[in-house]
Amino acid sequence: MISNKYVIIGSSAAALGCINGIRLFDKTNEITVISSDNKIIYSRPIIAEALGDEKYAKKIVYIYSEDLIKSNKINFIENAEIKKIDPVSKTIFSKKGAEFHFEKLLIGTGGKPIMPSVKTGGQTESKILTFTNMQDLARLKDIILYRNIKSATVVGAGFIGLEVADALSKNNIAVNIVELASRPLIRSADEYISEKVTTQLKKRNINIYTNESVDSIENNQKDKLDITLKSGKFFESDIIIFSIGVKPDLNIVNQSGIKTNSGIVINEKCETNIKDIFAAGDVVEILDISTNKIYPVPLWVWAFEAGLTAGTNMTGAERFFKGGYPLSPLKFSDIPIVSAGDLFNEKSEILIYKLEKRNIYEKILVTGNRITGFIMTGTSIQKSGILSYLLKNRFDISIIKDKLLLPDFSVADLPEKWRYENE
Amino acid sequence: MNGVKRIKCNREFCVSCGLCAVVCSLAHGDEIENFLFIDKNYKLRSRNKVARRDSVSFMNSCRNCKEPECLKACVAGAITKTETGIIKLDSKKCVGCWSCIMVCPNGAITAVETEKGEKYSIKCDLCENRESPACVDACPNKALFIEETE
Repeated sequence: MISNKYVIIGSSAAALGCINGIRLFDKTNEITVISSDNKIIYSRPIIAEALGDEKYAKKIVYIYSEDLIKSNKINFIENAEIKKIDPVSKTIFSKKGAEFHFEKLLIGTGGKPIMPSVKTGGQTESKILTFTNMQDLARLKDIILYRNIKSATVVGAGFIGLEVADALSKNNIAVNIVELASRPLIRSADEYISEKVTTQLKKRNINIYTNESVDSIENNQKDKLDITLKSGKFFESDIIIFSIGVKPDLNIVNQSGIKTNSGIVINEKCETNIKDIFAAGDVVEILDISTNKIYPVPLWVWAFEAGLTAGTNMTGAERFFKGGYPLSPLKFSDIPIVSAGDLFNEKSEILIYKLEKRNIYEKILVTGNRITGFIMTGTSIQKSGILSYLLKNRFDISIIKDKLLLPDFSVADLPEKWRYENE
Repeated sequence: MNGVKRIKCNREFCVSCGLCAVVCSLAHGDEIENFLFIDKNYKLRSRNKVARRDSVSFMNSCRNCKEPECLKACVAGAITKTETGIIKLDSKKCVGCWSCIMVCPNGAITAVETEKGEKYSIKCDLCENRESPACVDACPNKALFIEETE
């Protein structure tokens, strides 16, 4: 049995944050990182880029190199899946039978792709895919390279779905997107932006079916998939990729006594209901500052920040995580588009500025004198950091509201005492 | 541990001439194709900007925050913090997702899009290849200076 002061299950953003947090206060004790992936810490958010453009494949980003792993005294255990946590004996068990004892534990196991129930027929196993990790990327790359596929269907037109569709399209594959909602990016953009995105899809010869879902998938005699939609529409496709979103992967906490709701429940110290067991990342539910509701907000930055908080508290120092909010950079788009917070609160006052010839669109949602959401495009994305900061810290923006949409809005518009690290 | 180096701006002296941004752009020109200092949006491609409103103005650039929000948000591992507390952004590792820009509380990171379609972020690097930062050297009213804090 291996014994360790710090054990982290998972090796993505939450783990990275946690390592950073621990190392701020404890530079001596070894950290054990148990990963179901192999080798190195890489970046899941950008695997779609690696599919679309070879030069990104290198960027994919072994963001934590082997050197860094050594210099941080990390004992990296690869290809290990944890099946059970026993909080009483403070032991975790891997599927292969290894046992690890911990003093402080972080659960950062992330999410798993949401799969709707769809009728299938014939040999479909290797053709129905998801796309969230390195293994998915490798599999899809092999399929593109060796099976010489011509067509693909992507289910879900959120920002990941669009990125995947675009990446496939760059590989000269004809793509159909199937989206349940009436427009792409139903959660991270408004109708104006969705329309722009739809135009861009058309330009790239990517077809989208909205108000639709997949009814059945059947492998036909030509060894292609017959895809039938709810409306009865029907087409052929070599593969189908489900990109509807992720939900917390709660398997390993089952029967451990660790409290879950829509994700693992944590407090502001990122501790679960059980002492010395912390959780962070896509596996937890957090407070969404823009809506004041609690649910998973599966984003790198909050995973990192909650991980950082957990890591700090694991050493005995103190730090609090006050919540996050949705943040969507739209990498797929020709023009930069970013959005944040709650774009659909009916009580919000909406501030809008448009300058079409420069691709500028600014929309800021103000609710009860606080910024609760925004969309910025073109060069206006430069404003988004300050707006984000105002949103996150719930500043009463009534005194600067008339400045927000000015083209030269900057930190100079913030009262000096608000400014971040302004000593 | 050494002090954190920051470029500071004395607001009393800043006359918002914008020379700091021009020399910044020139000082980093070698990494930009064809010595193009102005990007496709006709904006000066500098790592600093003059922030101004009414009678207040100052140079706005990376403050090398003790707790850098950009570092937490970077999905590409392109942003790191050195032993001396300087925040580095490796534009070669950057994938242009603008996450850092979306969370920088000072709006001190700049998006670059080249004609070739490359996208990446840039920020003040304290002119690591020069003896002292170009903006500090050039400021005609000596509003800019370097401060080393603890």
